[in-house]
Amino acid sequence: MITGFHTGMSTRERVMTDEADRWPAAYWRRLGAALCVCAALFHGRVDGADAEPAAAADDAVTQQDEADPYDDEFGEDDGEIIADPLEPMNRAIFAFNDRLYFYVLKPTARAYRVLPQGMRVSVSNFFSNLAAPIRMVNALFQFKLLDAGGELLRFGVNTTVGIGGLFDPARKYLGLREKDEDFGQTLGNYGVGQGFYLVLPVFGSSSARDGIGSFVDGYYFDPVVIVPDETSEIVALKALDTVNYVSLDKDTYEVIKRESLDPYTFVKNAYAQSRAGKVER
Amino acid sequence: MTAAVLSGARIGAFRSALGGCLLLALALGAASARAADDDGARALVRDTSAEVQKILQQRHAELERKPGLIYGVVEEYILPHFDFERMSQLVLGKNWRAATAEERGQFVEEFRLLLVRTYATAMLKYSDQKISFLPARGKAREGEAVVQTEVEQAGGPPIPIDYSLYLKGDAWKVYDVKIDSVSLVVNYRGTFASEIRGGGLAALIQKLHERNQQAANE
Repeated sequence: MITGFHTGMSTRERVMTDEADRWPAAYWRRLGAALCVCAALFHGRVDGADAEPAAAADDAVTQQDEADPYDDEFGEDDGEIIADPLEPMNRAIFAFNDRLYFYVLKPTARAYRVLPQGMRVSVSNFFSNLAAPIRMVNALFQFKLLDAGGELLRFGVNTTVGIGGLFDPARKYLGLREKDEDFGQTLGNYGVGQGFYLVLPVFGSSSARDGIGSFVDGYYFDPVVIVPDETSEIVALKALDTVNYVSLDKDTYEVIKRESLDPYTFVKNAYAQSRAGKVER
Repeated sequence: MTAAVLSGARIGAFRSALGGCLLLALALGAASARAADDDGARALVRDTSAEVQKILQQRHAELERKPGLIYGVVEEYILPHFDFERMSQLVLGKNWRAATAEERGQFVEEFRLLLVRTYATAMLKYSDQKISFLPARGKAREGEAVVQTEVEQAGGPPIPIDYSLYLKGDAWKVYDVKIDSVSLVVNYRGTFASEIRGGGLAALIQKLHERNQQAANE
């Protein structure tokens, strides 16, 4: 649904450090720091540091994901796909996001639809192209070298021939498709389960693992968060990305809300399954 | 002595060669049977999608005026290929076993109506998008097939849609659809299980019934 994640912290931190600290220097420093974090993480795994309760609970969930869901037709399956110890809080935030969607996001997106679809697709392409570093770095982390190379090539071609990423000639002429990767998936690839379900204000569905993943992606690899000097610029860009996305979306949330008896549970289960599927692919 | 060992070895070699041939033949047979299975299932999904897309495009103007007509199209062309009884069993899990014959019948009907509506809505929205069929991955069991497709969407990566089918008699029947890895069966199982825990199967059926009535009156 609503994707993307960042905090104002990146800007605060930048104010504390050198004013002249600009992209790409800052960018590469963060990338280096991220690599260190990853190294530490994987090292930790080897040491058996993944025996946290959350991770253990998660392994059970992952195993359940991997089991054939149809094998046990009449089993004692209570239908739980992801643990949800924070359900009361999550439901409250879900209700808040629901209102945000219907009272703010949707009306804005509807007004924004005056722009022709071709233009909105270009805006979507532009943001997707900007997010290429996130996908490339995470493909690298998972040693998916072909995918990482593909993302690099896509970024090169679409930024130049595709006029700053407004168009997607890499897909049209080279058949190179974008590969959805993020840090949450990288963690998943190394055996970290989703942990518990988490609904974030504004950003929507997440999990213990993917929340950390989104933070790492936003803080270290997302040019939209790193390059602007002002938090307001970041917020404006993210808002544009989201409104544009919703304007292209075909009322997915409305359909879910109308047709499902409990939209919260529906969205939660869909999120957990979709993320598990992305890690597998 | 030497001769005996030699002949023994030869017999051993012969035997393993024979065994190898047998295994190979079995594997080939299994592979071709699986290929045939997959082809049947793929053909069904491909032909049905093509047929429905054609109808949707032909009757586009009509459907624009009366979106309710789509239900007829879904009923006529898509539903016959779904096995709602099996889907209901999978969705209810242990609750199916505990249900009376009457409850089972009611549930299948209400669940069917819900799926028709959801499916029809999705189809109206994506009727003009290109569907591509991915090459079959041969890991399915005998009599089972997963047909993988991708639906293009404007301004985003294509949405993977996988159909799970099984051979019922000599006809392929769909028993689950996975959209972007989200299984309809698994998702509804989760939602319905929490409803049943709250108020029992009868209450769930009643809720579904009310929802369907409400939609029919709209």
